[in-house]
Amino acid sequence: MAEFQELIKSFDRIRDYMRQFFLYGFKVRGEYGEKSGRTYDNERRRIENYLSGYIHSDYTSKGKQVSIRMDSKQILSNPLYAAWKSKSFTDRDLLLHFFLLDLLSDGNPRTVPELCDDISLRYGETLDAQIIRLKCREYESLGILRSEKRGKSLSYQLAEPLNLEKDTQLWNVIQNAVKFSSETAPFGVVGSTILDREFLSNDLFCWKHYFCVHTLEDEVLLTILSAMREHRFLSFENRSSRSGKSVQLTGLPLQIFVSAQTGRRYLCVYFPPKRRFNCLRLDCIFNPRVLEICPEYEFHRENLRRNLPYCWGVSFGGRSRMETLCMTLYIDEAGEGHIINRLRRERRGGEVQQVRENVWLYMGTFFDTNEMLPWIKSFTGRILDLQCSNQAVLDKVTADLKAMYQMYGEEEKDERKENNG
Amino acid sequence: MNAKKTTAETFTLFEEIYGSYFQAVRRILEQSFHTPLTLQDMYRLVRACAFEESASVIVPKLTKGPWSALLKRDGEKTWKSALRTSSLKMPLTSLQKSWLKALLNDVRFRLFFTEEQLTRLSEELKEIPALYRQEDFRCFDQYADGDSYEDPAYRTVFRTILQAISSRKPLFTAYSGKKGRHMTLEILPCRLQYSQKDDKFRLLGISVHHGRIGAPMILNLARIEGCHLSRNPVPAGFDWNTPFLSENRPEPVQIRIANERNALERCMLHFANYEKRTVYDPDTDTWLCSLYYDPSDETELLIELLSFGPVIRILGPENFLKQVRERVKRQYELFF
Repeated sequence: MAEFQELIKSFDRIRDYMRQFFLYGFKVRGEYGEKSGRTYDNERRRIENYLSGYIHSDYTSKGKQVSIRMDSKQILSNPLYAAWKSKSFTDRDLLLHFFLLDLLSDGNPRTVPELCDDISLRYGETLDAQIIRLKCREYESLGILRSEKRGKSLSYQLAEPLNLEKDTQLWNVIQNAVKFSSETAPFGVVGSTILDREFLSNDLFCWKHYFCVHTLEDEVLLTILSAMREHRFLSFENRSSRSGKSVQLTGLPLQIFVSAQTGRRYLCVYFPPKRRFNCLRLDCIFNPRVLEICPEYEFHRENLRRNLPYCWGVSFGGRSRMETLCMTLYIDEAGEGHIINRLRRERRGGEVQQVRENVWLYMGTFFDTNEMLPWIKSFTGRILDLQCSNQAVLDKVTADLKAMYQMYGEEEKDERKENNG
Repeated sequence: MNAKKTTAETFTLFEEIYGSYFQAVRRILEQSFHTPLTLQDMYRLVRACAFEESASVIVPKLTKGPWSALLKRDGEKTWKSALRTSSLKMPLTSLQKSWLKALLNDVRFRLFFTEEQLTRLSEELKEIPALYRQEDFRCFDQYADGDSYEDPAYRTVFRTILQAISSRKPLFTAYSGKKGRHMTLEILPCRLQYSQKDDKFRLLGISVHHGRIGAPMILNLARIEGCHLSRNPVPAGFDWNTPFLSENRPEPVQIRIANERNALERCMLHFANYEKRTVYDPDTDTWLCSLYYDPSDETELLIELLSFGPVIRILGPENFLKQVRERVKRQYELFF
């Protein structure tokens, strides 16, 4: 039996398990799809190791449930970044890393044969020149080393530090800004590696409405952004979270839509054959591949820009192009001014106006009013009237409000009866 | 369509050089350069940098295994670095610089700096391509009344508070309360809280009255009209983590999630910021979920739960359920 390894070669292996443990946490060993029990045991043990303070186990009749539990208001930095810091390597990779940093710290450039000799002389390790050459090239592409021609061969030295790093005061400010941005900006894990480099951690900020799990999509996002930057098509696998079925898609990636309220991120992609914009969840996208340049990229992007004011969320609607929704609310102006403020800050381009004392109207026109349903229901207890050009939306809200009354209102009656009886 | 060849500019996040094992080994080598380390010292250092079982891999490899060229024995039970430099800090990688460059266009990142510092940063990073552009992202549901990050007065307040938190100094603030009531407060600033949804900063701290510790306070940064560092001493034994540890958490809200309209996944994603516990109930083919919450977020949680409609049923606690019933009943009376 192979020995257990904490580190992993491929990020995708851990991505799925970590997501499931974090979001759901109620599945037991046999419920993790097609993967073998051994795979589950290894991934579970790894995640337990990476996130030891956040793992909970419960025992049910079906088996052990493992979940990642955390209150985002209590954490200072995203514990899931640990997954990014778990890549496996060879013994030689590690040795060469420290040998190169140590040798080149004197500022003198060295060719590969010189590095080879120095490593043997200083540390007593004999390494093949080709291996050192490959490592130097790799580190040059990462930006750690730079090379210059010396005669016929290349000599390597450490990349110059930024001048900013020499200004202690300014570098401290940058570090504070990194403490913030590593949890709030895209690719925050990069900031986390900058803090690691300084042996620092966030001690200034805390978070509200923080959704840690979405860091797991960052590698996919990186490829998508590179396609966007170069105006290229993208092909990728889209795996349905409901059915688990995969389809291979090709389209033009235009923008990333982000929900601040759930942390979910979507790729907005233009599909030329259908001549449609679509938003697809990043966590459902796998194996993206950058393809050829689209000469009309700017045209499609501009087209998207024109459409954005009519997106409530991520939907570009169905056949009917625009839908209008009007919602009349009862708001006690004397004591509930904050509700009026809420309407104004959450209106997403819709209009808010007072109809008469304590009665306010919200009116908006969007591609797909279906997406507004959860928002409308968040005003439960205040809705005086609702009108919508999409009758199905109206029917859904009405049915939901009725069902909720049956759920809670009837319950109250029953309880009253019981108490009286 | 043809796949594009990978270019040298393609970044990857999953690299061993950023890994916890490299970090732990660097920590050991740098520390042992100055002071010889025992095995226990090494185990302690690895535990602080890496994962649960990492020490049992790293320490033997360093002391008697394939990485032992990096350490040399210094005594019977201690080891020293075999390297000649005490600092093994890597130069910033292209990925890290590129990320910093992207941040230069983030108004929140810019808050930390003076105009002169921003100019220097831009100058230094001018040759570096940005990892992303702000316009690559569209946040579609962020509240529209976020803080004014470009207002000079706001920027001054932000930087003063940051200075107070970093240096652990009390702060005098002029604050405009909810109903426009002006007040002056002395506060021990513990953390700045940021919410992406609200796009707001809040100061979490503890009030001080004549040197005595008062109540925990949350101040909206946008309502702080001015502030300066206080010269008063910090009360002895003050715990700077106090507002973090809310001890009086209420009973969790219990909900039953129906197996319809993809409710489970929507709920799990929506409430992923709360600590929660979910179990499947095979008898009813539903899931029971307990959501642990901060009392100050009760109304917010209530309306979030209502937004799910009848696909979830709120089961308790009673005081929470009472509010749900009231709203639902009122709605029925208004609408039907």
